[in-house]
Amino acid sequence: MGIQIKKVCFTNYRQYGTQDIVFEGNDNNNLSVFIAKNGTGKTTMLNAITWCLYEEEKFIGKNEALPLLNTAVLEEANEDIEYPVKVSVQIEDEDSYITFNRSLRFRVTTMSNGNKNAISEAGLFEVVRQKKKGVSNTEIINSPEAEMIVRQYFNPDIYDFYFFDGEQLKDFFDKTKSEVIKGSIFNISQVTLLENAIKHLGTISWETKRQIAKTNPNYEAILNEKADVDNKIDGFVKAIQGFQAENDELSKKRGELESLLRTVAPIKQLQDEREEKQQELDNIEEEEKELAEEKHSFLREYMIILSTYPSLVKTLGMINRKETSGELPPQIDRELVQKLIDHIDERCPVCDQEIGDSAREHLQRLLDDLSVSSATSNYLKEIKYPLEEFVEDAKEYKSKRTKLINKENAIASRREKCEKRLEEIGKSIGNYDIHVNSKVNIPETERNLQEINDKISANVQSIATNTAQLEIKRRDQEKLARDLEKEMKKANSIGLLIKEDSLIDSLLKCFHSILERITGDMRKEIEEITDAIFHHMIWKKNTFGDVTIDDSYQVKVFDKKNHVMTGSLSATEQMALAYAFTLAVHQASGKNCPLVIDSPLGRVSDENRANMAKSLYEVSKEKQIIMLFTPDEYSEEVKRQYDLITNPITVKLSEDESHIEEVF
Amino acid sequence: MPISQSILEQIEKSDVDDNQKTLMKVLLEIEDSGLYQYKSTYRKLIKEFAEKKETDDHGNTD
Repeated sequence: MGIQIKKVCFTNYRQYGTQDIVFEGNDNNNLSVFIAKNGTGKTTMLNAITWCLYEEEKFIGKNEALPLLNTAVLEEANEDIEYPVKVSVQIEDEDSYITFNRSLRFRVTTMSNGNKNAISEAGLFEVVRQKKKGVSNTEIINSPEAEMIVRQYFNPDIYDFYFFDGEQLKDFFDKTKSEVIKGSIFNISQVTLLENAIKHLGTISWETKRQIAKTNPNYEAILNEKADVDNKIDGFVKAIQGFQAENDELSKKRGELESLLRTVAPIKQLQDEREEKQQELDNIEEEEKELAEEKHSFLREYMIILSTYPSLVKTLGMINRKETSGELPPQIDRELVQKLIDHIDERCPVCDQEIGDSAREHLQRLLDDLSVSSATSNYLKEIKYPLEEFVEDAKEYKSKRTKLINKENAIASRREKCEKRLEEIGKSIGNYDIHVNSKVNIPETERNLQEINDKISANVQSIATNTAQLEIKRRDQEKLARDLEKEMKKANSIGLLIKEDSLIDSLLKCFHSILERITGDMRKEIEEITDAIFHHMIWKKNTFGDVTIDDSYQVKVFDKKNHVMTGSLSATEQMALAYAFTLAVHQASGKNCPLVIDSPLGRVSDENRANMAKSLYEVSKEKQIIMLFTPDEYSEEVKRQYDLITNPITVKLSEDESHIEEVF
Repeated sequence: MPISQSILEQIEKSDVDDNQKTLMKVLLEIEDSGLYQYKSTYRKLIKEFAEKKETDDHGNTD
């Protein structure tokens, strides 16, 4: 079952006062349900755990002012005594029981208005680890090693992938957050170690090359030129990434605007048609690319055939004429006749008669009359068929060309119609009477949409230009690297330095290649798991296509027609996507960590609650899930499922709201 | 923290000799320990490796 939170113990902590809350699973699942009214300690439970682990209440409201010390204790406090606030989180994994203990001592003072104030004094954080096997099996670990243990189990960089607030999904797939996610995933997979090694080796490589350059002016010149090219390549790569990032953002906005337009009933049909036409236009662009390839192949093939066509026809004509005149194939073997003349003293190999003078003269005449040798004859026969094929092909040039032109015209005509219709739809939507629907300013939305489309097209163009320039510079870079190697070989006098340089280059190459493979594998793994879990969780089976995660860890959901629809997901679907991604990150991190969710179904619409509750129960068969519900959220349909499989923990606040009076 | 299994596997798959694979693991362990003065440590290790390689190459030639 992986890592499990077994118990959270409180001492004088906020409204929990002094209590132990135990989370128990069973043989079939590890699902714990915790029910508390708003304001009675639901989110405080989440805050207590994060305070214990990270020394920070991660889910606290901005205006929170109450002290950590329980208010009932504070009111009764004596100024001469120190009061501890402590939270312990006990977890269990395959081979140990681990308890995280954080405590903070408070001294209480009475202010001039009579109110009591708690002032924090020294704090302590320790981890107690008890091995399940062995004799000397308990150790107490203090800071900073204790923080390292926290990092191993609940990486603080991605704390909200373990302690999840269902109400705060709005920013879950935020761009800035995806960068943090990427960084944390790289941390988990130790990619940062590789990145640092590459960075440090890069610096040393540069210094070593400089040292070598001092002994060889040519080397230095090439090195400088290469550094210049390297910088330009970096510039192009960054520019391309910038345009791509901007287009991702614009596509997201476009999705949102398109969704907005779809909400206006009278133009929904037009908007749907526009999206269909847009898809058609994308398909046409694909066909145009294929046609361009076909045209290139056609021209390459016919450039050779047509340029040699006169010679081909002439040669074929000559072969045909010789065949007609009987010269091909020759009736007499020229080599045999020549052999007979050369060995005139021997007997004829055919009739075994002596060859006399008259026979010799006859043979010589025959030889003179033969214009084609057997070898030439065979060669001409051999090339005749391919020549005929080439000539035939050449005859088909016009028809094939016409066919290609017709295809091109047909595609162009479809493009024209499609673009014309898109323009008409754009105008119709743009001129839509604003007063008919007051909620959405359609002309303005349409203008914004048009601006976004124009910007996306311009960015695509810039990406293409930069990519072309990048390719040129990469070729230059490869050439300069080869030139450097040549110059390096000339400078034998500084042998060891060169060996060091060559070793550094080899190390850099290996680390780069490992980095590329690990990051690619990791991203792909998370993408595949997210896709699988999302499709498993979601009950609309015919709406969604692939879920993808790009290199910057932006998650996108496509529909069956391959339209991006991340921006159009309902709150329930967003929640399913967030769960899927969270669980994928857990899996990829290699540790089966628990998931504590505040308001797990808070944003799920009524009709989908039972489905989502069932999906989460399925997940709890593989990993611990602790859900913090309000009584309203723990609705009848959820209760029907969960009451059968778990004993919900309910907390009740005291009348004066100073402490939790009852846990049952 | 020990170097992850996936990185170790990738190092083993690299098309370099065993000594260089060991050097790669050592460099990553140095990074993991959060060494501040990386330059001198890196230089020392690379120099030692290059010298050893040169000696080995000469030994093989002799």
